[in-house]
Amino acid sequence: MAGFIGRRILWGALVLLLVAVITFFLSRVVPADPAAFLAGQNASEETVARIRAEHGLDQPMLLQFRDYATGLVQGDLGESIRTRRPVAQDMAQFLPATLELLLVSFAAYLVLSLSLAILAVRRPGGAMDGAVRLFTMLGTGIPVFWLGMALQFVFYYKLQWFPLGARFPIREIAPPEVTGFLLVDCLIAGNPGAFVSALQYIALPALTVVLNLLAVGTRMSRAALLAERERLYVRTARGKGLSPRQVLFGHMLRNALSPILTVTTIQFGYLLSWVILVEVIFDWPGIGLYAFQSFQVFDYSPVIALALVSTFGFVVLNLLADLLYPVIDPRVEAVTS
Amino acid sequence: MSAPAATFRAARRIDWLAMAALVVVALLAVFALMPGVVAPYDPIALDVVNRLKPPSPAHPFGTDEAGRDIFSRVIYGTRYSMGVALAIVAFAAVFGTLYGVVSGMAPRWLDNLMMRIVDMVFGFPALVLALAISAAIGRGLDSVTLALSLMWWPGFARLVRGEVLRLKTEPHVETARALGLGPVTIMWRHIVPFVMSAVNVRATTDIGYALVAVTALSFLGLGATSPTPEWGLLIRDSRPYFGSAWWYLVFPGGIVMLTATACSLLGDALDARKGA
Repeated sequence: MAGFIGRRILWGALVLLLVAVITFFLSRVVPADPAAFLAGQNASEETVARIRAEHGLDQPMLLQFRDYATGLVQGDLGESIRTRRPVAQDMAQFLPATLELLLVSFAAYLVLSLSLAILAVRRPGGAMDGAVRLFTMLGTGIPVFWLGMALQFVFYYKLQWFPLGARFPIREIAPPEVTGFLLVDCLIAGNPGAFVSALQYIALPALTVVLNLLAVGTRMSRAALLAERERLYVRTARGKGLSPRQVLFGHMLRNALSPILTVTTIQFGYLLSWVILVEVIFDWPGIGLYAFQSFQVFDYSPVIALALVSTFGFVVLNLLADLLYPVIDPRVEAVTS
Repeated sequence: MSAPAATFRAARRIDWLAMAALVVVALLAVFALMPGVVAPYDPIALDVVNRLKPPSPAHPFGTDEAGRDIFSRVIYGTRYSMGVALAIVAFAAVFGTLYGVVSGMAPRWLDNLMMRIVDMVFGFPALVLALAISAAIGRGLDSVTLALSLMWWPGFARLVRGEVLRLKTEPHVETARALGLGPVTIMWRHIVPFVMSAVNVRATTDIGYALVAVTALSFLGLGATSPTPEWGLLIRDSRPYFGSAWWYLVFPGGIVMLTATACSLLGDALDARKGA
């Protein structure tokens, strides 16, 4: 088991290194000149050259990467040309907003998708199952950005139920920053009013994420549960006289957890890669929006940093999943050790 | 209701939906191949007097901020959005299938190495790659096609490799091997034909997902540039007016959703037939 984990960690490090190499070279083969952009339109040749030298942009590509890689190991992600601050510092500032959105929406997604799948499987082919299948069928085709805009239109423009465009009302005083997670900070400050405000701001982006994940997730969880229904142990359990509820929760759900974990990992990975879209639509001040805004002004260090951070998240996520499989299904242990 | 009757009803219902999906896809093919026949207006011609008009008999989907007919723009857009989605899935299916077959047939160490590479590509954030590529070679549908093609093939590679590993132990393949046929012959004549149905199902469903991804990148401004009537770009352009002109948002988004759903339904129908 320890050897297995060691190999996985080593592999994860290798993946990160390769992602660093790829993104670095892609971003430096650009036709646009970051130094010229930074210097402004009317800058002289000398100014541009000076700025280029300052940022090491005049060095050979390999040397630039060597400096970059050395910095990476020391936690230096370079400097953002746009914000004129270290990227690591920017990322640390914007990361909690992204994590908060990810965690809140993913928790809601897990609860909802499992509940819907269970409701559907209780009587396959029944009315509830039909409704769930109709929902998953329609839901898979909705582009997430379009869904986000539609929700904005209905709940912000028409009904005016929810605010838009930040994490917290500008006119109110935000609670002192302790964790960076606004919801948690509000609770620490003992301010239920602020907590409700923050909750209102996160509601629409989170709802967008949840609805986007829900269709595919429910569909796959339902399939996993249905597959268990055909197994012999279900027949045995029924034969013993267990109620349908006991069979479903005590036996089928327990056995379907492995495939459901697989689905969950895939969904979270997908979300890591696409949460940037939701952040852009809702002006949610996370690392995705930060990287995207930098990208638009040819400032690439934040984009590389985002790639590294999301790949890191993906590697950790898969490691966690690998560790969880033997816990939920002891039979897996034999394979991994 | 007896079990066979339920199965029969289920089968009939799925067929109905698949038929509807087929009609949608056929219509899209017509739109893509002969947009001029269907579209009532020039998708690019300006008509500033009639800007942001709600749907009417003259403009069934309304008009945009330059007075262009949104219905015509959606029709002409089929070629761009669906063309790119098809290109991505075609590349991914061909390359992924070859990769998966080779990996499944290869010695164990090579198979392992090839699958680790697949894991790695899976771990790479697609959107960030798209940002990097469009930074490197410029914004446009070309860089969107390139970025998404590079990200899309591993799904096919994994699927096909799994099928190959299963097929390798099938009697007809073992017979072929016992007869002394070479690995290349076995691969082409006895393995590849049997993985194609799974690849077809996956490809059909994936066209819808690819379409959603393409429009998402265009929406972010990485893909098509104005005044190309690409669907994602239409949705992007509608953003400033979304409080006042609902039709501008609803119709282009609706066509993306309809198309993606149709692809997914067709994939399901193919899958069901494959199992039968």
